[in-house]
Amino acid sequence: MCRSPREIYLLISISLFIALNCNAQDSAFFAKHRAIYFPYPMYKEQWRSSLGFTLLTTPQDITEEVRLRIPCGNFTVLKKISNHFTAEGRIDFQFLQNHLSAGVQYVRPVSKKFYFSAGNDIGYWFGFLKIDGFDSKGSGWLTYPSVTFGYMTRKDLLITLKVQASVNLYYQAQNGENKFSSGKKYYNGEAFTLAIEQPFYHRKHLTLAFSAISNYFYWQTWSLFYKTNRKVFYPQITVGIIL
Amino acid sequence: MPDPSGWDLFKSPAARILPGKARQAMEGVYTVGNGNNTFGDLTAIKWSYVINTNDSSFHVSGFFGKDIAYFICEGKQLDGAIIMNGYWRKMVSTETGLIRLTITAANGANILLSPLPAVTPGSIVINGVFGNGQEEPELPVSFAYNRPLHNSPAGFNILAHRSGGRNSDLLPVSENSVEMVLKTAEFGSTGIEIDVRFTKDGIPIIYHDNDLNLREVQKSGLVGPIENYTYAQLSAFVRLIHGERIPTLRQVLNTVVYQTQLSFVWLDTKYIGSLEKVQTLAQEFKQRALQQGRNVEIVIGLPGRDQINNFLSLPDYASTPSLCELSIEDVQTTNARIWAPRFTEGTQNDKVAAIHAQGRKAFAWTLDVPEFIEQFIREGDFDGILSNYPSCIAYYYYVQQ
Repeated sequence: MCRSPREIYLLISISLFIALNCNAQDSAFFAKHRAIYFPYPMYKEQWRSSLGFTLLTTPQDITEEVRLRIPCGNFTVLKKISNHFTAEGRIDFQFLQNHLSAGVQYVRPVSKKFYFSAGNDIGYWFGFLKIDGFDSKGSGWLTYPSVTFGYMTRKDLLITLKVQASVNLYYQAQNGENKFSSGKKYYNGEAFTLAIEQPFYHRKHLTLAFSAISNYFYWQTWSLFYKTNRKVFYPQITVGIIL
Repeated sequence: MPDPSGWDLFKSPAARILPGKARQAMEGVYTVGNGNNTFGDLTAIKWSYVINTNDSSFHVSGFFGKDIAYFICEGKQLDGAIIMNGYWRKMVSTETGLIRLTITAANGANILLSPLPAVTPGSIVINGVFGNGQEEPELPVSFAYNRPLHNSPAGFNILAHRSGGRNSDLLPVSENSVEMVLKTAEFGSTGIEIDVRFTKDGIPIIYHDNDLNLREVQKSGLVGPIENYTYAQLSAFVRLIHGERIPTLRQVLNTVVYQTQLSFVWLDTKYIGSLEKVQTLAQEFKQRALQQGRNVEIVIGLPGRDQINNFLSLPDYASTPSLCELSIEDVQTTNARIWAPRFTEGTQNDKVAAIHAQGRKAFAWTLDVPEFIEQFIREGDFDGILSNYPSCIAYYYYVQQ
């Protein structure tokens, strides 16, 4: 289709306006907000990162008297790929058991207030326990497809709902000289996370997230039991400071 | 658990109890034909019984290699055929359903019901149907006799954790209950592990956790440590998760000795204090079993240093049967008959050999992952395994060639 120079000029002008406006939006967003969960495109920023911890409660009907509230450190980093694609990396560390994940998100504004992203992460967990009565190691691969919806309030508050599924790809465990591995892929469960992100002190921004995780297998409990005969509910709180 | 009472044929007044010889001859490893996608390629079929006040009840169980599946049926003879009615379950999920099985006269019932049944490969074919949940069973299933069950000369202890399995395994009766003790052989158990605690008035009872909680008991208004309550209080106000009473140790041992075929009881000591009452009860019921012509081994479990010290303070500890979970040195110090390490240290065949050289036995606990159960039975030298899934141990043990 042939276009006149006037139409081409108009098209370029509109595109430039949108691009500049996006950058302006990005600058305005960055000045006002910092977010890790909120699915805001990285128009101008190159990196975002967050340091924090999660607190997971183990289910009493499974872990019985060993009712643990397991703290776990985490570091999350986002890297711009393009205006609408973001790479995400996350490390959850407890030293005796750790989880690494990396993935890509497609991020898109729906309106000035509503934002959306969809993507997939690949996760690898590993743990080891060599204390009295234990000579155990475990590791495994999972994949986490997710969709995220963000709502920007008039104030400084960013509200995010993330729905994430998990699919078990590979599991390996070793006790003493005995090893077992399984490449059986199965739907492992889902996690619903409601996150709020807002400034809390000068320009520091805080993330507070509540997750309802429902899984057959959860990597943080690998040393207590293998997958359960039904999905088990794990409530988790995440607190993070956006760097 | 689905209710299998809907099969009218099985309720026929003409249906009669199976002779003992038929039950015994039916036991074996069968090849699964129809239904192998659901249950796997083999099943180990075994009968169990409990003695009631006036009679005995018999159940036939089939243990499968896939998804820790099993079936449990009652069996009868009717018009020259054998019919079996019950339910199946997979322990890796919540899948369960009804199962109805038949051995026609031509498919081997005439052999099994003969005075001297002689079973050969292929001579018995069990056909039937199974379904999901309470729905009418329609999916075909078939088993063909392959070979006898494996039985090593030294025997092997298939031990059920908490007398049969945990409450979280969604079994039809509560963990650590008399009702579970009566059911556990249906899951393949030859012995049980139970948890001993004391009430405020010094009655040894069977209960796992420190306190009364909704994992183990129904809402009662009583909370806190179980040793804060007398047995009368617990008996009057507290019910286990499926409605049973918290049993005393005496009640459980009485059930084992007089009502079951179980041959081993592991008394896991969940408290710190004198072991004298437990020792006395263990000795009393050992004698009672002998008077019944049965050899039931009852051992006091020693899971920690405190229990070992209390055990060593018993006047005749060295001749008291015990099971030590700590080191081989502790086994020697206590003169424990059994060393029971966690499975998480592996098969440890060298240490097990050292224990055997001392004339003792070795058990592994608590092993629930089927792949590890298979490895421990195939590659390990343990004399018994404790599991929440005794049916899985039964499968891997009995199908060995």
